[in-house]
Amino acid sequence: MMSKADFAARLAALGLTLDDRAFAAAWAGAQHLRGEVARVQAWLATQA
Amino acid sequence: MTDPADLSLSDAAAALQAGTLTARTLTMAALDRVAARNDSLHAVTHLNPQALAEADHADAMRAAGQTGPLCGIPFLVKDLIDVADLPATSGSAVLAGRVAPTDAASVALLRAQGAVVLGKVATYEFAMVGPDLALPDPPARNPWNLAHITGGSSSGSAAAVAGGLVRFALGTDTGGSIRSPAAYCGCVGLKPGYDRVSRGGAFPLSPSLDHVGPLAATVAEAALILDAITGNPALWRAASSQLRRGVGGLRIGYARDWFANDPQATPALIRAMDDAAAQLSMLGATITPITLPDYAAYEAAGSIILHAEALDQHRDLIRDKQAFYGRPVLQCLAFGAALDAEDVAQARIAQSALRNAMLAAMDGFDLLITATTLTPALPFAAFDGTKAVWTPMRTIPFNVTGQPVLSLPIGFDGGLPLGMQIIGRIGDEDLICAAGHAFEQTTDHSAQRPLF
Repeated sequence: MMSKADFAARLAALGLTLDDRAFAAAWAGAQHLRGEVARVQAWLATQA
Repeated sequence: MTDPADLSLSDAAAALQAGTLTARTLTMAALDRVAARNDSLHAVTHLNPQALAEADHADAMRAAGQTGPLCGIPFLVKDLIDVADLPATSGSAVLAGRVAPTDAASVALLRAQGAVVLGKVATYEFAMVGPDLALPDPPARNPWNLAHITGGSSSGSAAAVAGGLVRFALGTDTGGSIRSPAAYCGCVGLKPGYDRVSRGGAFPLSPSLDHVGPLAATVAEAALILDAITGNPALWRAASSQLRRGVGGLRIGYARDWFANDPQATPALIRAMDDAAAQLSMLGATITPITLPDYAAYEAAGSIILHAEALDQHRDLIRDKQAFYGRPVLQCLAFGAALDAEDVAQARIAQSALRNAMLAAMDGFDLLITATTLTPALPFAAFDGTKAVWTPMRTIPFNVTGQPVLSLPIGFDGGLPLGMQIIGRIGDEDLICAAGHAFEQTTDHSAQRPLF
């Protein structure tokens, strides 16, 4: 489970500096994408 | 007398061949259209200062015996695709001042056949997200209602074709970027099978999912253009080779539950899709409801691959030119930082399995049909920058599988166009175009044009 701080560190490593509003939007998108990762894992599990 | 700008590609080619029309006259007619309508549409971003000289060259080619159907035909190019000596910014201040050194492969093929580059058209920034109302260049507008979006990212291509500036334009499609603007604007979009058209010279968004293809006024014209830009024609059946085949005997799976059960789908969209299915049935196709694999799994795998690859493409630019990106694109690129290599590897395994699952589901069917988008184009007012706005579509699964897909008009909802996708197996562009052409010939959806 990736924390908000982990995500912020990853952005910093990329050199990506976002203001608070942009970071909030990016964090929401990141969580959605983590949900997509879980969905793919679940789908693959049904194919096993 | 018909304005030359309104001539179909085949009628224009016939007139050019008969000597009753010149490429210069045709190109001037297109330039006149741009002058008259682009202030409203915001489709064209850069005109080619050499367009008339290129038209003269095409006239000379024809006088010397060149008889190809595209010799002297003007067209526009999405600003994600390079045209030698023209600005190539991918709709972004990040690449401001960049001029393409050479033609993209698809543009080079069209030019070799005498087609005339009229200019470049708008794209969502780096083909990622839009409309971004904060960018210096205003976004392209929907020709059917200027207060509404075109969809994207091939926004200018769709606005230009539907707005009558040209009969075709080139676009790119990574998750629906040819098909959704085509549907929203009421023109035809043809995403070829993966690797049929070279991506060379197009700024990559997600190379595993990127496709280059045409947006056109009609199915026949889209098929003609696809054949002209197919990299190695010997490997593929021509998309235009079976246009008169009709749909008799074709078994078409109707993926209705991919959209009709979604509360976002408008009643008018569901009705238009049911009517389109009924029309294909009346034309002799066997229409059978089909249950496809889980739509959400395709969207999930596609999103993971797209965001991971997009971030890879932009890693260096972010470091050097972050301040020049639009806010929505930077936010979107940042999503990819949430992914690990293992996540992407799993998504690629899923991509392969999902491709096989789709082929298995299509067993016993020649083609599929489903909605392109679930709603008509939203108003610009919905994009006020305070929250993310989703424009629901059913397009990315076929970027994941790489199958060819045609989107064509099927009606209207509140005065705004709606679109249907016709999907085939890899290599079956001829069949999807045959079905689309048959539908188009017996309905008037593609013949309707917005008033200016």
